[in-house]
Amino acid sequence: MSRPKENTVEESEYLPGIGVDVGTANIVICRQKKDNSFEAKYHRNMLFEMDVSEEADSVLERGNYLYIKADNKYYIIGEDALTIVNAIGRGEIIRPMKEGLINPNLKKAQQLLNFILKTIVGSPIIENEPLRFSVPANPVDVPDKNNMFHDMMLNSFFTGLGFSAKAINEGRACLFNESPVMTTESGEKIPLTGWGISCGGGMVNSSIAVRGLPITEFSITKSGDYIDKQVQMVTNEQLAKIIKTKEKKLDLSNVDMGDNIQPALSVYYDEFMTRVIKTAFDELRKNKHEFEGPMPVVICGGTSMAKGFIDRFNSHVKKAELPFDISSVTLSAAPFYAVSQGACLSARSDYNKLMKG
Amino acid sequence: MIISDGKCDSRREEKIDLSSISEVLGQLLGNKLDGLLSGKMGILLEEIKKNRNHNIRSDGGEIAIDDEESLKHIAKIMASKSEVYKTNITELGNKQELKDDGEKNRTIDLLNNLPD
Repeated sequence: MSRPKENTVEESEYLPGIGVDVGTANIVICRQKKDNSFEAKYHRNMLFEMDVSEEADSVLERGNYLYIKADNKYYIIGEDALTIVNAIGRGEIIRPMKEGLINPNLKKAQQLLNFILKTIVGSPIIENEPLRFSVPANPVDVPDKNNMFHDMMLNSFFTGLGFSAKAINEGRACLFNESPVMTTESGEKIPLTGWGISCGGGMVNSSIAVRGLPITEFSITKSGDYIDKQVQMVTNEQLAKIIKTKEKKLDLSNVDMGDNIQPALSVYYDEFMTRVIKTAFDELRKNKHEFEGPMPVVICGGTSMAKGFIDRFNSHVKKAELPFDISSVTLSAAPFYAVSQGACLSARSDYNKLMKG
Repeated sequence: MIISDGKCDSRREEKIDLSSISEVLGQLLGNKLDGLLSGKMGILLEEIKKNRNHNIRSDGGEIAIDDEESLKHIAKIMASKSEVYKTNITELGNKQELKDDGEKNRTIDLLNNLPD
């Protein structure tokens, strides 16, 4: 990472160092302001493609949608992609990423992802500004899948935009942001020690760290998007409607059984939690970890935002055979922003280290 | 008039977006081409002709401009180089303030002491 150039600092309300959560479902960026508060910006990581025509021009102009035009196509970006699909009642949204990585089934996935990233991340506020982008760990349930291409592609893209870019594991970013403290049997408090779990759209990422140093990191596929797709298969409802129900109506502690979508979401949330807890615990048992005290677990990510999620998750944990003692399982105060904010903290630290020389 | 750029694909027929052309050419010429964002090709040409003695360097070599065809050609090159050549987006992203009582700065201090 090359040293940032202070003499290129422009007047900015932000401090140098940006965190980017490159999620399957959403892209979230986070910056620290000079008053020490933080500001996050987000967009759904999705597009809707329309051929260029007078009709499309008119629709886009009247609807004030966010779009880009490239290769003789319009690409409506983010939330507006969902809005327009819901409005016209047909067509499918394009997802540049799948299961935490660049979608291998989509020919233009890399280009489309770059469109969204470029427009949301913007330009560095200083030359070689440190940037941390989230990457998943390699999945334990799909051993031949790895994140190398994804990591390198994003690194080269952000570097091309003028940042000093470095990856950070998604689970570790969650852990840094939540900053859990382990209390030993003798009462000693060990900072930055715990288990961070980020439940994203494509994957669930885990990172266990002691004093901030990662001990083990892994991911599990089939997360929020998988739940949506399973529900789509059994209800035959449009994906956009399922997402809307999940985000606006679903309460896992009080499921509306009269709704066509909610009972199916509840069933697949149960399947998701059972599978994730079993796979993670099996993986951790292999390494026979011994810690100085019971492990605090912190959870974040869009899939954990359903109302009632943490209570149901806790009830599944209690039923499982634990790999080690767990002191608590808590949901982040800002589950949607935790990974980007954790990445931002890391980028801020990168900046401090570079300035110290 | 010379245009040399191996990447230009003259078979591509694309609708030319004036805002993009004026922005890109403005950057290349080092001049502000304000007022051309909704302008007409004639006005744009007049501006370009004023700068006909400039040599504009592109990846493939030197380019000088003195007629409409050249301009169109250059516009195509620029459009093909630019990933996003038309956008209505000015302020992107839904914003969210995240308040902090200083806890995050304490975490940054802890991270400062960790090895890379």
